[in-house]
Order: sequence, then C-alpha cells, then structure tokens
Amino acid sequence: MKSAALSFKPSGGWLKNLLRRYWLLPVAAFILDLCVCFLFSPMNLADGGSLAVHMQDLMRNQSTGQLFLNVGLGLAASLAVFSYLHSEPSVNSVHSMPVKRSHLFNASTLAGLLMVAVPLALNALVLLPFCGLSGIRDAAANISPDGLLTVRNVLAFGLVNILQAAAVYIISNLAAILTGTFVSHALLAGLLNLLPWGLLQTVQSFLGFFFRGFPTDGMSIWNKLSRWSHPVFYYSLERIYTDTSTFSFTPAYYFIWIGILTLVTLLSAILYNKVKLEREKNVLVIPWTADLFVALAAFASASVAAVILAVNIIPSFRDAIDGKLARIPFILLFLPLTVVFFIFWRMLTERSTHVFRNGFWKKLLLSFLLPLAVFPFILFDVTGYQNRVPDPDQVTSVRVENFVFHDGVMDETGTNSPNYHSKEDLAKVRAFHEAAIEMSGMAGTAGTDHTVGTDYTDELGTTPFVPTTPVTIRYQLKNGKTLVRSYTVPTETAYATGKAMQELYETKTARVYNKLDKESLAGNTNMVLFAEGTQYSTGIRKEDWNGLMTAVNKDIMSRRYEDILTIGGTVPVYATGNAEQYANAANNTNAANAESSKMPTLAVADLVFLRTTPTEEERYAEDHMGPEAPSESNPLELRRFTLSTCDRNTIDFLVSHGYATQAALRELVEQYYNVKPAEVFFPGMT
Amino acid sequence: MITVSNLKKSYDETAVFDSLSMQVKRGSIYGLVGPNGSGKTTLLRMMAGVLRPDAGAIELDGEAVYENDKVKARIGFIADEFWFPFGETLTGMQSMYKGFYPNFNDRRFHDMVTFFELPAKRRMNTFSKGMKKQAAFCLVLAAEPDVLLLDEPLDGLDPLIRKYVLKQMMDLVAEKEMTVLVSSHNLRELEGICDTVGILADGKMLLERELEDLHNDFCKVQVAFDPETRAAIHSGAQPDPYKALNVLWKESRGNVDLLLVRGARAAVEENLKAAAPVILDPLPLTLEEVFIYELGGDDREISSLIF
Repeated sequence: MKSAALSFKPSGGWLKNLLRRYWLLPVAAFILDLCVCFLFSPMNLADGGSLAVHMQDLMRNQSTGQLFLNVGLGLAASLAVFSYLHSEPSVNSVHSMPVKRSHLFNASTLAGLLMVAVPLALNALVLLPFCGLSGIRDAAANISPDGLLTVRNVLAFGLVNILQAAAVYIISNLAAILTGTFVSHALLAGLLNLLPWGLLQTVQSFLGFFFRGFPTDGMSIWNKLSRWSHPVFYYSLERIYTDTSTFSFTPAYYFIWIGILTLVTLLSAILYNKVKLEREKNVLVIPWTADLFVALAAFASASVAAVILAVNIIPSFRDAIDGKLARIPFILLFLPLTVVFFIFWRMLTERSTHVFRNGFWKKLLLSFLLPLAVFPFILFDVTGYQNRVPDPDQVTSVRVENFVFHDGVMDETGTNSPNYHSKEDLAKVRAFHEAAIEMSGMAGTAGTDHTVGTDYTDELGTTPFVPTTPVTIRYQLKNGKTLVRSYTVPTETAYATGKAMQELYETKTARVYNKLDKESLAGNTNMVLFAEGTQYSTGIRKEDWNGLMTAVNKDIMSRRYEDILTIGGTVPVYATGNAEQYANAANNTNAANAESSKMPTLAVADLVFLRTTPTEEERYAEDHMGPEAPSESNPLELRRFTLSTCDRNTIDFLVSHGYATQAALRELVEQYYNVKPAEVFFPGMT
Repeated sequence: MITVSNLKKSYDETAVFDSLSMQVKRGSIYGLVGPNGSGKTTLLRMMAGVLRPDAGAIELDGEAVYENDKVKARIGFIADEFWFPFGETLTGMQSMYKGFYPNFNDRRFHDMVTFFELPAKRRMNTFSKGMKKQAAFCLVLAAEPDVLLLDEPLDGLDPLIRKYVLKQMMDLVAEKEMTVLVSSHNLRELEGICDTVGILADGKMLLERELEDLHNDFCKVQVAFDPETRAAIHSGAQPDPYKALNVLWKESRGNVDLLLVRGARAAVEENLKAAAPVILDPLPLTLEEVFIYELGGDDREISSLIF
C-alpha cells in the first residue's frame, strides 16, 4: 500500500477525462488573469486609472485582483477534480472502474495542477513582450536599469502566482479526502489553508493579551511566521512589513514551499489509499481526524470567545494601565466555554444532537490536553519572557520609541527615537525597563481606584484617570539579535516609569537627537509657521532660517520633561490638581480653571519644514503617471516642530523678526483656548 | 468463480458481515436476496472493488479483487443509482469506458443505444431515471465483462425494456459464460432468471441453493380420496398414505388435501397412487414456498425476507 501511494503513475484515461470535462476552468482563469493584468478590474480602481502604478502593483505582488484569482483558481480546481468523492453514486462508479486508487489520485492531482499552472504560466508569457516598457519603473532607488517590467521579474511573477494557486489547490485536496460533501470540502479547504496562519495569530494574540512587554509593532516573530505560513500571505504581505522596493521573489522560500506541498501531496495520497469510501457518518471521514478537528476547533472558539468576553464585557479582567488580561479569571471563563464549543463542534461533525455517547466524556477530557500543553507557554510565563532585561554588556545600542523622545518632531525616515549606546545611557534604559516591568500589573483592574506602590504621591491623590503612554524598547544585541518589548506606562514623574522616562529624556543623546539638522533642512525646504487651530500661516524668510533654527535648537535643549508631556499630548494640558481638572484636560477644550490651575505650557503653533521642489525621481514618476511630485501647492512635510509657550527663544525670535507680535500670539491663545492669557502663559510679555 | 471467504465488514461501529462465505460459479446467474439493510449493496460494492473488507477475502478465479485493476477490468458494476459526470454525454462516456475496458464492444453499444433510442450527444444530466439506467446497461454490457454485478437493476425499467435487457444479459451468459450476480429484496423478481439464489440476513448467508436442486427436492400436490377410503384411513383400516412421505405442509379444503412434500415428484406420486386417490394433481411450486419451508416453516420473519 505504501509503495503504491508513493509511486507516481497517473491513470491516463482518467486524466484525459478530467481535462476534457473541466477545460473551461483554465480558459476562464486565463481570460480573467488577462483582465487583471491589463484591464482595470474593480479591485484596481484605487490606482486611479494609472497603468504604470497598476503594473507596478502587479509586479510587486500587491494586486488584490491577482491574489483573489490565484486563491479562487486553486480552490475551484480542487473542488472540480475531486468532485467524484462528494457522493456515493460517483464513488461507486469511479472506484469500480479498473484503476487503482493511487492512479486515480495521481491523475486527479495532476489534472488540477495543470489547470492551475497553465493559465498562469501563459499569462506570464503574454506579459513578456511588454518587458522594458518605458515608464514602468519602481520609484525607489534600487531599480534595475530596465525598470520593473523585466524578463526576470515577469517570469518570477508567473512562478509566484503558480505557487500561490498550487498551495491553495494542494491543501484543498487534503480537505477533499477528509470530507464527503461539496460544502464540507470547500469549508475545510478554507480552514486548512488558514490553519497555520490562524494558529500562529492565536499564539501571538495570547502573548499580546497576557505577556507584559510583548511588542505591539507587528514585527514579532509570530507575526512574521504567520506571514510565512502560506505563500498567499507571504507574497502579499511580506513586502508591506519589510518595506523593500525590489520585486519580492525569494528562491529559498519558494523551494521550501515546493517541498512542503510535496509532503502534503504524499500525505493526501496515503490517506486516499486508506480512507473508507463508505463514508462514516462524521463530516470528517477518518475518525481520528474528526476528534482532532473538534478538539482544535473547540480550543480556538473558546479562546476567541473568552478573549472577546474578557476584553469587552468584563472590565474587571483587564489591567487598568496596560490592558493585559488577568489569567486565572480568564481560565475560569475558558473552561466552561471549551465544553460548550466542544459539544457544538461535535454536533456539527457528527450531524446529530446525540453526541453524549461513543466516548464523549473521554474525548472531552482529552481535548483539554491541548490547552494544558500550550497554556504554560502562551498564558503563563514559564520561560521568564516578561522579566527578561538584557545586561548592558550584551547590548550594542537601544532605541526607546515614544513621542517624548522625538519631542514632537518627526522626520521622513519614520524612526522617532534616539539611539542610546553609551554606558550611562544604557544604564538609564535598563532602569526604565525595570521600572516598566515592575509597574506592570500593579495598577489593578479597570474601574477601581489606583494606589500604585510607593511612588504614589498625595499630590495626585486617587484618580480614575492615569495618563499613560505606549513605549517600545528595541535592543540591538551584540549577538546580532534584536529584542523588542512594548509597554504602556504612566508618564507622570510620581511614578517610577515617569521618573525614568524623564531621566532618559534629559540625556544629551535624546536632546541632541531632537535638534534640527540645519544642513539637511537647507536647500529646497520651505519653513512655514502654522497657528494651532486657525487658518493663520506665514512663510519664514530664507535669511531668517539659520537664526530661527538656532533658537529652536536652544529651546529643544532646554525643554522640561513636563513640557513634553503637554506638547506631545498624553494630556493636552498638563495639570496638577483634582480629578475634575484632569477630566477637563482630557476633553482638551475648556480650560476654565486654567489660571488657577497653573498650566505652564500650551502648544500654540507648528513650525513645519516643507519641500516644494521635486527630485528627479519624483518628476520622472509623475511624468509617467506616478504619484504627484512635491510642489508649492502640494508640499512634502519633512519635519514639524510644535512651538509652545515654553519655547522662549523661538517666540522671542519670531516676535523680534516680525512674524508674530505678542498681540497676535495672545489672540491665538484666546481664540483657540478660549482663555485670557495670564502672566503664566507669557511671563515678561504684556 | 467468485469466492467470498470469512468476510467481515462494519461501519459506523455496526457490523454488517461477520464471517460471510459464499461462492458464485462461473456462468451462473446468482440472485442475492435479503431485506433492506442486510448488506446486499455493501457486498456488491466490495465485490466491485469499491470498498475494502475489514477481514476475509473476495477473489475472482483466485485473485483478490480489491485494488487489482486487471481483475476489475473483468467486472462490470451497475449500482442502484448510476453516476455520470455532470455535463457528460453518452458519446463521452463511451470513450471513457473504452479507455478503461479493453473488451469494449462498440457494435453492441451502438445496437443497444439505438434500441433504447437514447440521444448520444445530449447531456446525461437531462436524462430521466429510466434513461440513465438504460444508458448504464449500454455502457456496462458493451464492456462485456466476465462478471456482471447488478444492484436492484430492473427498477425504473418498463416491461419491454426489462425484457430486452434480460435478453442481452442471457446472450452474454450463453456466449461468454458471463457470471451475473443480481441483488434484490424481491424473490419474485428473480424467479425465472436466476439459477442460484442466496438469502442474506443479519450478516450471514441463511441459505444458498441452486434452483434446479430445489425444484427436484420438493413438490406440491393436490390429493383427494373417496369417502370410503377416507373413512378407512381415518379408522386405521387402511394405512395412511402420507406417513411414508416427508410432508412439510398440509392444508385440507373439504375433501381435498394440499401437500408440500420433500422428495422427487415421481416418487411422491407413485407413493400416493398406491392409495388410489380420485384426485392427484401436481401443482406449481413458487420459490417463496420452497424457501419458507426450507428455512423452517411459515415464519413471518422469514417471509418478510422474501416478500
């Protein structure tokens, strides 16, 4: 039996019959693929009718239409070639014919593969004459001289599409053998294709909900693995996350998946030889697969349901600061839900409500083995993940990402944190990290009052609202690895984390990082002052740039941590006082008690650095129907500095150079904040 | 010859067969009878190589059937519900069958299709139930298998078509010594076509006999004596003529007795003639009657098997 399953000898008669009967499928797929590639399908309307952009998306595996076509073709081919397994009459007729099961399986598999591969390969060949078409280029720096539509890229494009469709097809064939009807085949095919992705996402979700410090930037290894779990996800999503601009064809991944699909085909062949064609009453015809499916489905359903209930309906399950779920209450919720869903899925697979028999209780108990095996790792921190803080000796450098550290200043590179690597800085990062770990879980659950450790001060009192901020720490270790942790921590210096953040902010590294780089901002940039919440704006004269940037840098170097909290916006207005003032501050409108509340800092304007002249690349792309290049009417924002009332040097410079009189600034404050400025806003100004 | 040895089969945790054994001789027409759920269809599907036995063996001329494409090329199977691929035509099915069955006879196929007046180029999913069955017969009989397995074959066929199909079958049996196994839940339907009958019930073969032997072993007679002879027999003055016979069943209707006797007819009649009856007429014997008494009398359970 084993050698029969592994030998490849398809039944020629059956193969011809299948190709003859289902010829329409590959023909339709080819025509649709032509439409996707050359015509504007509804999926590609977002391209705005730009053929160049459309072709770029196609070559970079970003075409939604192509993706749907590949998935649909794979599934349809499987449903077609194995349709004879869907009913007893067809099973009788086909299997009574003088052909071995293994030959039948091989012929069916081959027929479907041909139906999937041929139209996609032909379509790639049709694209070949268009290679080198001028204007179809990648806008990024690393492009080949011929552009994106090259022979290599087109052939790779064809291979990638075939792999995606073939993966869906072969995994769906496994579903065909495990089930006995058309509907269950289709549903199980979808489930099996999504299963690895689903499991990995489940693990990631659990880690995110229960593990303090689990990164929230989507770059965790689990997220990565789930993107790699299927060629459809890999070739569609990996580009987004890795942000490469070259064509995404990775031979290693490609050949690994050919190996995986070969193994899945072998498994299907072996099961096909063993499956009982009389079709047990279960939806899944091999009893142990039905039991396994019910256990997995019950676990997944109970997990999702328990998380939804815990997150949305039962607030006492969540930590008030970082939103993590409490473990024991979650488990107490999870257990009865598992029983309920176990019964539900068993009814579905057995197509009967009489499920409390045939070893029901034994199978229910066995299904708990799954959470018992995985919960220690994804619910309880048996590996010590949460408390892991690298020793400074192991660290090359570390970034701490939070608005505080970019000080309201953004740049086009997208990174918004200084890079700490000195011994002193690393020690401060470590102190902050340890404070974040200690802070986790100490705030109690939502809806309760907070008294947090020994750092609690009378000044703050008991308040239902604790200003917090998300922080990500990204270590680059000496062994080449990256360690990432994300926390939500209180920012106030009354808390250890706030104090540690203040220490980090006030390092020279952070301050120097935030300084304006005069050199990079010179040249084609424009500088414009936008008044907060008004239509008022004014350009800054070129001859004043140097002086203004010097003034801004002086203010950056002297800003206080408390000022940054206000400017950056965890609270729009920093206040000390009672809960009512906090609530007012959170609403960001009426600071009626502003005068008595001692608010030292208000953001009043944004100094924005813009580029209005396009680079050659941008002009080229626009000429060939790419995105609009920067111009006077469509400037590109390079950096933004939020001017606040604490930035004395900058305000003085602006006032003294005629950009804003005190009266104008006062007017801004009155209009926007609806308060009369007091001495506290503009000390020394009348 | 088809040999079934110690066959075991169960599904849905229910045993269908438990050590079933039987033989079907080459060139015979075997009628397989049993109530609904007795396993007739399952047995046929295993003989056709569709299902795998849990234990035991099914062999054709000493070779196992399951997963043996050479043996299966000699077997034709017409299930109760015959399947045709959606959108397929009779011509398409013909070419498919020609690819699988080396002995496919185009002439016979053509003649049968013409007789049935089936449209060769029309999609078969538009055929009626009867037309589909006719098409199935065309295809399978044209393949001229050595063994023909038929599951409730005559359902849906009108009498004329039924007669034609049976004739085709008989021709093949005569020409090529084709072995036929027909399953039915109705013994009357099999009467006249089968030469061997087996009754399947509760996973076992209750009875398996050649009809010639059955008819030779039993006879049914109508006997009547004159009043004086009756009185003498009754008083013991004359020996009871029935005592020497193996009477399985007797019914008296006035002065006339109906008897079902185990034994050859000639011997029974000679025995009875010695008592000088006024009436001695042999009566036709149905299969039902034979099986009822072969299996132990007028048992309702047994009669339910064969009605």
